[in-house]
Amino acid sequence: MTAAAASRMRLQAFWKSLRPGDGFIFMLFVAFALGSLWAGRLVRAQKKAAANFVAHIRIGDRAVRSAALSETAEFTLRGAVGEMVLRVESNSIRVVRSSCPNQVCVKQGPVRYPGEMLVCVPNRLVVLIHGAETRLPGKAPAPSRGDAVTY
Amino acid sequence: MMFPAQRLTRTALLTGFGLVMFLFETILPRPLPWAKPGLANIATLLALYLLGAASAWAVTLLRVLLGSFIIGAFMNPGFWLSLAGGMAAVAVMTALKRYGANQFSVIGISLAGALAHVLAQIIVAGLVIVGRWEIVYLLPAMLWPALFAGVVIGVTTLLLLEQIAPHLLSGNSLRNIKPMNDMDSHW
Repeated sequence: MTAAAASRMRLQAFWKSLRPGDGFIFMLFVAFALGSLWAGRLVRAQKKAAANFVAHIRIGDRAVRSAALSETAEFTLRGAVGEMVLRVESNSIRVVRSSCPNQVCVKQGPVRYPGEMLVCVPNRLVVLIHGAETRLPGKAPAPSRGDAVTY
Repeated sequence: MMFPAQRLTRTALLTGFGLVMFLFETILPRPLPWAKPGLANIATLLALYLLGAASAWAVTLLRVLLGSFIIGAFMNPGFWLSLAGGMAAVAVMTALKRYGANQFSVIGISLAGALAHVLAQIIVAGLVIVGRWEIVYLLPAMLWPALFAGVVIGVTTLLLLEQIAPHLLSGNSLRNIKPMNDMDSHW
């Protein structure tokens, strides 16, 4: 018997030695590993959400208002083109309706983490989410004028 | 037919083997402090298959205890983690071997032991030692290496069983081990 044939037979015998339960245990293992990844992500997301992020809303140069993402609210703003409706719910903020032509801001959907933005160029709306530390006493976030706004 | 003295000596032999594997592992450099290959589990699996559940328990518990004496970790946090992991692993493996209706090969049993080992350790670490359940963040980083290690240990034990099982079960000397390319051996 050649060495190649012997190793092929060994491989076949190896596969035959596997039992159905082995695959089950393997899948269970993979399920646990994936599930723990998912659970860790979920916990992290909840902790982030619990950190009380704040959305700062500007229209053009003007700071219109701030909204804590932990609350539930809906408000109407007057943009450069027309009215727009923003909604804060389940730790996120999104544009529900806008008077702008392309509806990019509406299609963007919700944002929820510090640094994320909602932008509506025609209405000159900028929503920027700040982390909790920017709300510490004496460190109120100065409404930034931005470096430059071009469109 | 196995005589008690024979079984005792073979259990002791496998305990020594597991202890050597355990000590070898502590020397190996590890990228993650908790990711040990679990080579000592080979000894537990061999004991389970060749000598029975009681021997598997003895091999595991003695290895954890003596190993901690040797590396000076007796009653350390790491010792309790080892003990919990080892006990959970051997409990699950003996149960699967006994009640698994022959649906598991040694690879599946090794994998189940690795899974039980990780879960028991994380529970003990989370509840008793760290006291914070955020330790679940560590689970993926523990489970993926354990999956790999479980397969490797299972295949290794399978090959070892193929080579030594006929001799140990028939009471023959271990010196008459067949060459690797002999095909009519037990898998």
